[in-house]
Amino acid sequence: MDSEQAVDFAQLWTCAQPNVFSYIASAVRNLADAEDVLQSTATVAVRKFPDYDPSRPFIAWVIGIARFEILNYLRSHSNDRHDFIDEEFLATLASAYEVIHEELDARRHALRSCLSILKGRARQVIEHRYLNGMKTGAVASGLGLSPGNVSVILNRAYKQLRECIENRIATEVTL
Amino acid sequence: MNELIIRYLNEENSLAEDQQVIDWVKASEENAKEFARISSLHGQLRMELQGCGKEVVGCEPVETKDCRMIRFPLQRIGKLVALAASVVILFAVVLSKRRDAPVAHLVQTKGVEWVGDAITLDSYLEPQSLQFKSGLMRLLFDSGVEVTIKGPARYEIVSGNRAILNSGVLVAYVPPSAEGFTVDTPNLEVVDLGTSFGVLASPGGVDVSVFKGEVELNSVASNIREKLTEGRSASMRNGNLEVMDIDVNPFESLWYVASGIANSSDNFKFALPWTRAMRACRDDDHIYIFAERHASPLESDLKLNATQPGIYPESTDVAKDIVKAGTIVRSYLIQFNPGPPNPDNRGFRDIVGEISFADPIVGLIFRAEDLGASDYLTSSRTPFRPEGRGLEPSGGNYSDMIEFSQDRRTLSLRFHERVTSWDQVRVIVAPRRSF
Repeated sequence: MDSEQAVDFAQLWTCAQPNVFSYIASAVRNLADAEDVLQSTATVAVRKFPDYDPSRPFIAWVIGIARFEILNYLRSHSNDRHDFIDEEFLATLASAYEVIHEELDARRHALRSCLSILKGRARQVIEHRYLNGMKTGAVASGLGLSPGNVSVILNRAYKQLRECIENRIATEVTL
Repeated sequence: MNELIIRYLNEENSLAEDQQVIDWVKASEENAKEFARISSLHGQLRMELQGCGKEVVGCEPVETKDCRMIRFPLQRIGKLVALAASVVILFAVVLSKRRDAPVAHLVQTKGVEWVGDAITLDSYLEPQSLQFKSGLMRLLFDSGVEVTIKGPARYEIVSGNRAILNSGVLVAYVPPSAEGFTVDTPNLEVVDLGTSFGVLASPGGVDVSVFKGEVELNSVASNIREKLTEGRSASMRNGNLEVMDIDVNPFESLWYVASGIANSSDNFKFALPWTRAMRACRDDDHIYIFAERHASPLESDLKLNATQPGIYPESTDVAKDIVKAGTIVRSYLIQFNPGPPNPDNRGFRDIVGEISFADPIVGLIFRAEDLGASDYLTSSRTPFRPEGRGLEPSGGNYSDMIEFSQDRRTLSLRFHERVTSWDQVRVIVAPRRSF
């Protein structure tokens, strides 16, 4: 990879990384593990970038690499919850991410502003779940709540965020 | 369905509910898009809260924060990426200690000439590049994966389950628990599916051979995804993959070290793992060694005929010592099986040889009945015939003899065999598993 390619790669990756990570986290639901898969995807992408055909969308190319990396992960971490995530599911989802990646970028930008609407317990639960990567049971123990309670709080927080995101996107489109 | 998807992402569904979500996504493109909208929130929240979501205008980042999402392989692209990182500030990373932890031991070397600083035997290696001009080395990953590399080679440990072979030859053994171990090469990715395989990476292309099990070959650039099964080889040249019958030649010279053998006299021959016809491994002038099972726990107690250094067999040798079920051992079978009678051998044949193992010998099995009882360790797919096996003390200058060295690594052997029978000794070794 020469210096020009390195700059090109960095810029393309910058744009693609959030959606690549979301794609990976859709199948690898343990977020720390999803980061490992993102790491290996980046490693392979850097190495193979000289072979990348710029006439193809970068997001499609790099999600193709992520798909292989997810399959590798699932093979080496086989369990009941992983066994039915198959190639067809990953391929179908990859196509969806490729088609709506610009919409997903817009939703992510909206999310940044919307996070501020979460207050109190909702903010605490979301931070434990996503900043600290804790599962619902661990969040419940940490906050002295029941797992059912945490699930309800999480669901309400997602709903609030989705509504806020959609309102913001609608407003931007109207403007 | 929204609630099911959220519960899927949080791993709160029953398996049937998870299956329902997966089937729904596969049912239509629109469903998949809706799933992507919901599931993307899952990943985006992680990135935003970790400070990895940057303010992006037209995909040009204008703000930076530390982010521990990604560590780029800086050693691979070095200054070039450093330059890119200065242009695109998103390359700021916090190196995760967990990811930099050592993942493999250098357990065996033979005549290695390093490029740059030498790495000492027994070093516990972090992800890093290894480059050497000649010789052989064996790495033992924490996962149990064993990789033997022959120089000249450039090999890179990326993580505990991934490595890159830029050039050189390797053979890998991957235990079932480490399935998914991946060897990447300049134009082909080799993913283990529970197997033993070899890879040769050269400027001309990549060759892969599967000795046991199967691997998956992937190339995003060439749109290749193909399974390669036991006894088959594949050759990747100019973006084209050709599959053929196994070609073992590139890998033969690695097999001694790959099997944990340190040295042997010239009259030892290695029975390669794809040579499963035991009866074919016979001639007047060679002792054959078969690598049997890799390090794994014994299914049942194992009777040994000798556990201490000394000279064997003696008339008093009986199966008196036991290795308990559950003990992790590696086993080998040494065999001398002279060819058919001819005017030269006149019905008998003598041979002497010496072999040293990388790991300490726990004990030996050489009585016919005890060999039979331990045959479940074998790599052979055809049963041994029961008669004429093992060593029997006969006294005098023409008896069989094994000298088991004080350091527990070396066996000096003298076999005196009728051409209608075969001398066999099973060697049980304590493999290096942890440090």
